[in-house]
Amino acid sequence: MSKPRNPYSFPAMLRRGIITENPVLVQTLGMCPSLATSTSVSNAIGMGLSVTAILICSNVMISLLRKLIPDRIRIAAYITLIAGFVTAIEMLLNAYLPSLSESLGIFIPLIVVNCIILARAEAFAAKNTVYRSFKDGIAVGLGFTFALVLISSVRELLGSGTLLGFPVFGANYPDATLFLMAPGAFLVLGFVVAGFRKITAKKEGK
Amino acid sequence: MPRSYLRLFQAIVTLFIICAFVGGLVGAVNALTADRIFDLKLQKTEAAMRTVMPSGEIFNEIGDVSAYGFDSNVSAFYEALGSDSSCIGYCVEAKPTGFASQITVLVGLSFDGTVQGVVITDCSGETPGLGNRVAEPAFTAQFNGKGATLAFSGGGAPAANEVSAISGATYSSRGVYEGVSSCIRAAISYTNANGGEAK
Repeated sequence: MSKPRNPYSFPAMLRRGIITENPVLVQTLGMCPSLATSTSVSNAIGMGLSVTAILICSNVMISLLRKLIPDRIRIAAYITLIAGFVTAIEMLLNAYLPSLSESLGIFIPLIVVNCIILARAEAFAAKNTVYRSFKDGIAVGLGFTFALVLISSVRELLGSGTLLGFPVFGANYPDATLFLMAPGAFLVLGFVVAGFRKITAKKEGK
Repeated sequence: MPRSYLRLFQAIVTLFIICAFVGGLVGAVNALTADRIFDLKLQKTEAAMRTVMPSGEIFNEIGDVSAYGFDSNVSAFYEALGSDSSCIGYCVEAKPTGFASQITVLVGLSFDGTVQGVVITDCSGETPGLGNRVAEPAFTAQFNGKGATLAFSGGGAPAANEVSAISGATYSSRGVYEGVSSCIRAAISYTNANGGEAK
C-alpha cells in the first residue's frame, strides 16, 4: 500500500462489490433467489441483470430522497419505491423477454423482498451521494450476477450437461438431476463459497 | 399545532407523495406494455391450440360454460373452426394440480372426446428435471387417440386405454392425466348439450 486509494472510485467499488464484499459469496445475502434461479446460466444472467437494474434505480432514488424521507418511515418508503421498480421491470420483462420472465416466474416479484436491495438502500444509499449510490448499485448488482453465474455454470454443467444451452458433454451425458434441485443448489453454493474464499484469501496473502 | 402532529403530518405527506410517484411510474409502464403482453399471451395460446388442433383456423372461446357442468379444473373452452368456418372440434384448457403447483394443459378434442393432441402450456412450478418432463412430447403423445375410457397406469405395461407415468414424477403425470380426463368429459358433455353434434 504505497499511496492511499480513493475508496469511492469506481474500480475500487467494483472490486468490493464483486470480490471482497460480494453480496452472495462473502456477505451471504439473498440466498433464496441465488439458490432458486441458478438452475441455468441464462436464468442467472437474467435474474442478475434484473436485480442490477432495480438496485441502480432504487439506490439512485433513495439517495435522492435521503434528506426528505423522515427517519421513522424510511423502511416503508424504501419498500414502496422498490416494489414500484420491481413491478415496472416485471411488466417490461413480460412484454419484451417473455421466455425469461416465464423461467424466472415468481422470483421476479420476489425481488421486492430481496435483502440485498434493502441492505444497500439502508447501508449505502441512505448515507451517500446520488452518484456514489449509482456506482454502488452497478457494483453490487454485478457482484450478485457474478455469483449467480458461478453457481449456475456448475449446476447447469452437471445437471443438464450444457452451458448456456449448448451441449458440453455430448448427447449421452446422463443428467445429474440432483444439481437442478434444491439439495444440489446447497451443495454447489457451499463449494463455490468455499472455493471463492480460498482463492481470495490466497490473493490477500492470508 | 404541537410538534408531534407536525412530524406525523410530514410523514403522511412524504409517504403520500412516494405512493403517488410509484403509482404513476407503474401506471406509465403498464400503459406502455399492456397491449404487448396481451398480444403475446394471445399468440401463445393460439400457437398452442394450433399444435393440438392443426386443422383449426379460428378458435372461439365459449364464455359462459356454467350450463355444461364441467369439472372445476377446466379453465377455458374453445370451439375450433375449420377453413370452411364449421366447427371441427374443441380445444379445452384445464389447470389440474401436479406435484407442487398447478399445471396448465391444453387439449385438442373431437366431438366424441377423442384426444387429438395435448400440450402443456405451463408446468413451471414442477420440479425441474422430474415433474416438468410432463411437457415432453414423449409423455403427452401417449394421450393421442384416447377417449372416454382413458385410465392411468401406475406401473407395468400400459393397456390400450392407459397412459403411463414418468418414473419419479408420478404426481405430475397424474395431474396431467386428471386434467386431460376433465377435458374429455367437458368435450363429451358439451357435445351432448348441443344435441349430439356440433351446432
